[in-house]
Amino acid sequence: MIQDSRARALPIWGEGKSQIPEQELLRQQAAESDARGIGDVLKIFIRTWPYLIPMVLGYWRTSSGVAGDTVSTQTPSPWNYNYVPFLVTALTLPGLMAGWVPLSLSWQHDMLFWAVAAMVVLSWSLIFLRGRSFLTALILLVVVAAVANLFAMLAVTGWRDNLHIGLVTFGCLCMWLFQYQVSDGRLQVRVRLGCHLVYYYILVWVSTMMGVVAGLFTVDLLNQSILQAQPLTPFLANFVGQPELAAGSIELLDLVQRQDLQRTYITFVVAIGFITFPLAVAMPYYNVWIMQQINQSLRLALVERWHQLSLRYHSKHRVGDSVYRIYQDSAQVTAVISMLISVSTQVVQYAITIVFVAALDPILGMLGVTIAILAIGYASWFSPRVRSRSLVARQAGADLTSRIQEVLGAVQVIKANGMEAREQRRFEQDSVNAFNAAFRVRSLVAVVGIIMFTMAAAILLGGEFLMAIWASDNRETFAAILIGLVGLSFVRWNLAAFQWAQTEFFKSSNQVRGVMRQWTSAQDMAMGLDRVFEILDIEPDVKNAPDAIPMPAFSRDVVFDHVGFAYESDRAILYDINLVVHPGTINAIVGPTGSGKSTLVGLLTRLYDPDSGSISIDGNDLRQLDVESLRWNVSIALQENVLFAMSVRDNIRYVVPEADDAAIYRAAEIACADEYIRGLPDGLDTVLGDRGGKLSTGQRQRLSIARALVKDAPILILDEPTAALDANTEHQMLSRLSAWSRGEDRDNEASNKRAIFLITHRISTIQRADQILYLDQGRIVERGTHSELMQIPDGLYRRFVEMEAMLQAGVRPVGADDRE
Amino acid sequence: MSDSTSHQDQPLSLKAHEVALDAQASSLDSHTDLNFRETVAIVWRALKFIGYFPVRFATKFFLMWLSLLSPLILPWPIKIVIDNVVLRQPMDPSAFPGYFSPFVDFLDGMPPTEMMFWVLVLGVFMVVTIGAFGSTGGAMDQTDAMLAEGHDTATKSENEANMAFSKFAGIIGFAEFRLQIRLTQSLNHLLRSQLFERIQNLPVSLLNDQRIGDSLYRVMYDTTAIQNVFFQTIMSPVLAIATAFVILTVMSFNYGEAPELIWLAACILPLQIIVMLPFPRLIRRRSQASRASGSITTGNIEEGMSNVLAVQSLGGNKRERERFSKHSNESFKRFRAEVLVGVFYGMANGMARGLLGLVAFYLISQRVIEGVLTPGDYGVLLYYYAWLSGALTAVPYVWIRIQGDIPGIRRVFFLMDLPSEIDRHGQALDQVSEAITLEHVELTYPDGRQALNDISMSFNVGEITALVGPTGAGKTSLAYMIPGFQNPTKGTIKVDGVDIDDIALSSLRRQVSYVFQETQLFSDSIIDNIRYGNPDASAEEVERVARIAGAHDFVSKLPDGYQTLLGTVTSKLSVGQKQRIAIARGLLKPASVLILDEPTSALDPETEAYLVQALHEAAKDKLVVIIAHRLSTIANADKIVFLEDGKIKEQGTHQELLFRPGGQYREFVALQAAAPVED
Repeated sequence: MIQDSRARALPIWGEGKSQIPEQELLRQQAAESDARGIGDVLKIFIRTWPYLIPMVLGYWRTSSGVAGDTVSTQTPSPWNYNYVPFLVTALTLPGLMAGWVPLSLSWQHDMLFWAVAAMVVLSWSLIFLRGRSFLTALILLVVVAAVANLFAMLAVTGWRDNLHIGLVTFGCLCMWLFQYQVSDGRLQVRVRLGCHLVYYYILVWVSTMMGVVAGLFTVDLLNQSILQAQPLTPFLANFVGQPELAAGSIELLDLVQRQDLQRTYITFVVAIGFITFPLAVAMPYYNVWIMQQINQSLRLALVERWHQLSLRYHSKHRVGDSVYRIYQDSAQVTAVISMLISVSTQVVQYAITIVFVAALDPILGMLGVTIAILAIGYASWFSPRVRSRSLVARQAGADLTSRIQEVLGAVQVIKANGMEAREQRRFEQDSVNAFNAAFRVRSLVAVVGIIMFTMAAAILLGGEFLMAIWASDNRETFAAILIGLVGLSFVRWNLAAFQWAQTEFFKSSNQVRGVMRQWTSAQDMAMGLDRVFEILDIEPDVKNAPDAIPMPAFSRDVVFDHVGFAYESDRAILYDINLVVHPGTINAIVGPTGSGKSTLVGLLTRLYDPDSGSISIDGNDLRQLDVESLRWNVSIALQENVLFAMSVRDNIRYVVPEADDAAIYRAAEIACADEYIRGLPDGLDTVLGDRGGKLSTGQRQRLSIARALVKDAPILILDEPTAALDANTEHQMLSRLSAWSRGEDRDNEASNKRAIFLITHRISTIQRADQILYLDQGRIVERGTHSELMQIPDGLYRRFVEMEAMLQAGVRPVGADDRE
Repeated sequence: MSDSTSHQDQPLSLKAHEVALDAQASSLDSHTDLNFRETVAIVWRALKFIGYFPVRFATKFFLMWLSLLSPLILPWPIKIVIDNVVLRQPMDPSAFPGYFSPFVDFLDGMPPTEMMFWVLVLGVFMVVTIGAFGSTGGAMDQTDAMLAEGHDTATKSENEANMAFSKFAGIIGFAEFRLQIRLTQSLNHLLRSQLFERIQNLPVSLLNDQRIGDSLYRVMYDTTAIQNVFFQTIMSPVLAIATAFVILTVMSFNYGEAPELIWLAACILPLQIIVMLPFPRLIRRRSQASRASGSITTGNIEEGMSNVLAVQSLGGNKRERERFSKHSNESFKRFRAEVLVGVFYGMANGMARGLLGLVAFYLISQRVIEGVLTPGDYGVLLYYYAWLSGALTAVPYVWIRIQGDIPGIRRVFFLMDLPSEIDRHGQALDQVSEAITLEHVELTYPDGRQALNDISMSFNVGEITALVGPTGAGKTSLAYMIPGFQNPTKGTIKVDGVDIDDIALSSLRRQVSYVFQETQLFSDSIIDNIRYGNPDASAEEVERVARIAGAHDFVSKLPDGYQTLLGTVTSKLSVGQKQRIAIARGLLKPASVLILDEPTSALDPETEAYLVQALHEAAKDKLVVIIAHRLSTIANADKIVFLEDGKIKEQGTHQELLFRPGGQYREFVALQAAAPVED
């Protein structure tokens, strides 16, 4: 036996000694006290509707090839379906020609006739009705069509009526599928496509029908004729093309005929195989495709929302949690449809089965219903428990994912401090937690299934006992008429009755258990979806106002008016900031660490909205501007160089994907990055590692600046652009930058309308600024040009410059020793 | 397919596309295509994990065999009910198998009602113990706890990690379930922990090439593939073959007159294997592509979320959405490709089985037509044939079934096999008391770039050595070699005369305190962050170093002071503030070597001056290395090493180098203090 203590980290059998750490216990209690009922669970499922509906309603495709939205943008829509009643009426004519005259054929034909008449009338009325009456008429039409079709399939023999009803229904369906409009004297048609879920379930229905039909056909052919030499039914005989083999024409089939039929059987099976194999290939793939599309739309909604949320959310949530929600939680939406369909079909089937069972004896019916009642009672006990455990399991899984991401992200610091073992222990603890939580939920699910079966089996055994005794005693059955409807004739209990009743009774129990199984799984699904909607429910702090306008071209000024901001209510970062910035100026922001410089420029990109005061560009308050258009007009090179694991080219043109290599190299040149890029093994195609690995910090910083430059926005923010650069590179870059900002590289008036914000310590750069703002503890304490500020006696800026100069000269400044 | 499309004009073939995905997912893991031998080797290695849990595995195995017994018991009670209760026939003990006779004898002679009662009791007993009282559908139950999953390899991992199944219900089923779920969990936990440990301890050079998203994917979603191999390869084939033998024996016993049928059934196996031949490799390739694509998507999510505020500032929301959408779609597509291959296999397999089934049908029905067999026999024979072909199909199907999991396990083993720092052993190092010397050290990156060329120098204890030079000169690469983050391609490094390769890495790093150029803090409290390298430090010591680093002032102004929790996106502090905390962390660690990489880039002059003075204090008994651009920081160093293009150009004190005529250092300094740029 190989040794590894981790193999014994989890208990062998069950929950073990209290493996639940305190944090988990608190979570469990919080989840359990979450008093949600079945209504809330159902509401969660209903909320998935917007993600399912595109697969049901599809999209419109017009003859000009433009696919429009299913939701019409104008009301009332110019598209109409006024042709439908004509079409429907036209389609009823063949029925008349087939000899449909009311009250002349069987009562079934009469029913069909009235159904068709109703559908015609309703389709006419739909053109004229509006609002609620329209809705009622529509629902009536759907119901009538459905009932008529079912009726035609089950109660009427002959395929002509089925076809007729089908055609009429299709005529009504055209209202949903094809619409037209006449505009500018031209006829435009649009057709609804892409209702994939509908198509898929039609395919399912078709293949099931084919299977049923084929089965009916072959069972009879095989068992009766081939094996037992019985003649064929007339229908089968005609179908096979050998009417002489029909019952009535012949008594028994002989050897040759049976062998003939044997060959027919084989050909038929092969033919069916050829027809169904494409379906068998296409359907699973199609199903997966549909489900993935639905999942994708939910994932995108999540990602979009996350990228809108601000620091307030992200500082409290871990990255691994997002990964978990995208993978495990959003995937639950794919199971919703199949669950709903499965549950509803089983419930309907259960109702039918119970009716039949009760027809034999009401006691049996009661027993069958008892199973359902017991199940529901049990469900109300276990549902909240499954939910709470499921929630805890998901949170634990998300924590584990987060732990991995965080450790791997900070691996250098961990290595430097030799903390690998400690992080490993924490990881293993998280893993154990996750597995224990998963164990608790799954163990409960398994137990639920077992107990459910035990309860059902007890009742089934009791029922079997009763049925056996009744059959043994040949007792009378209850409702002979109802049973006659089904085609059986159990007046008294006998073996056949016993077997039939047993089958149905067991079926009803299966259906109840099936529903319970789905319901249990649905609790877990609901928790996953809940975690998704939790995110989608968060209102972003910074969002577009309803009447947001795109940002007009920057021409006049940027004004900060009494702006104040705090990350949290007790710690203000900025107080009463007032400043005006004009295009064509370089504005330096200087100050000690933590004085709020980065926050100030962050407000300009609407990373946050100010708590008090306002910021406006050309008189437009930032909050009135469309966020995306604002950020498009502001270019920022951040202090912490954020690069992505893409090629150098893609990093530079991150927000400007259409930039060509020439533009990229121009920007790189100004940022003094072009030389080293050319020196890279793959040049612009070099793929960077995580966080822009493979480059030194200085190289990353220049890339980051090139990225800001390529955007060519009218407002440029550079946050400590030269911190990692040596003096030579720094001078080069700054001179190129200033040349660029004055438009010396191209003849473009717009270029000297650029406003540049520069946060830096470098005196040489600051000196050239048109306006210098000295920020201290969130307030602008001094402002002006370099010469102006230098003249302030004992000014903070002056002191700052002097210290800096002394340091540059290599002399330690006086007064720095007394700091203990 | 990388993000850029500028040089991809023609659509790539599937193979090329998948290769591109592999490269994008992980640049380390390139040989992803496996042949049969390699696959078998992986399966064998996975199976060796049984050695960790021999007893549990054997128990589960035994319980699975028990399920073979249920068809022996279950049909008989219903026979009693039908024959003896409903039809009121007398009990015939000879119609029942020997093991059932005690019960039959017990029932012999009872009136039907009483018989039914005892059958009921037996039924209850069976329900409670094995969760079945008959062989029809409604009378049997199985135990499992599969929860809903999505259509993507990653989303199936939760079910895989906790797989447990029992053919029984009742007490035995419950027991088997709990045993298996803990067994699967233990297996997964073990593999995950082993993999994570190896990844964490990979050398920095390898980690730089390995994306976090890819590692995350492997630890979370690839490791779970092992449980399939574990259970499928052992349990299924053995059971299938045993079942096949049983059926064959029964068939030949009763139907010796139709030996062709048995031969036909035996043909199933070779035909299945032939049909199966092209598929394993196809499935493996698709599964690998699906995982690679999933890794890329995970990396994208992880990257986007870690930098979410930066993305917003840059105005990259739309771009991130597009990128995510593209990667996610791609991973879905790759999964669909895997599904499609599986579907085609099912089709091929079904056709083969169908053909054979038709032949069987022909043979049997021929016999019936000729009168040799009865219609009842037809039913029985076909049932046996179906059962047998099903059992035999299971054997090659096992191989197909695990092909989707093999790439996952391969990816796990690949990372585990990479050289890890755990493997490096050496002697312990108490402290560095003299010097660290580099002799003719060279560093060349794998892609050919030469970072350092013929470096020979020494860092001495009691001195501050400053590494100076233009950006990209190799200063950080040089400093990385001291704590062993980077290994020289040529040359030796000696610590107190001992070759660095002979020193245990953990011990070496304990003696080196490194303050990185780019700060990384954890989402713990500030005091825990500072204490990271020295968890036992007292609050006073923490405050002392915080003052030196210039952090104490702003920390004490925070409402929670040192207990303030830094969030995951630590924007509560400015970059400069974070840097000071990192410096404090570096100062607090009781190491004999202190390396600071650009510590002053975000410090104001006052704080910088104070820090430099403190460093001089510390340097009295430590070895201090500073990398900096700023003159103020390096001017008072004991030794300045000027690097350019990976070579040492000059060494000496500030004064010495300043007065060297035509010296590069001098020129460098001059630029620093230069007048403002003229236009």
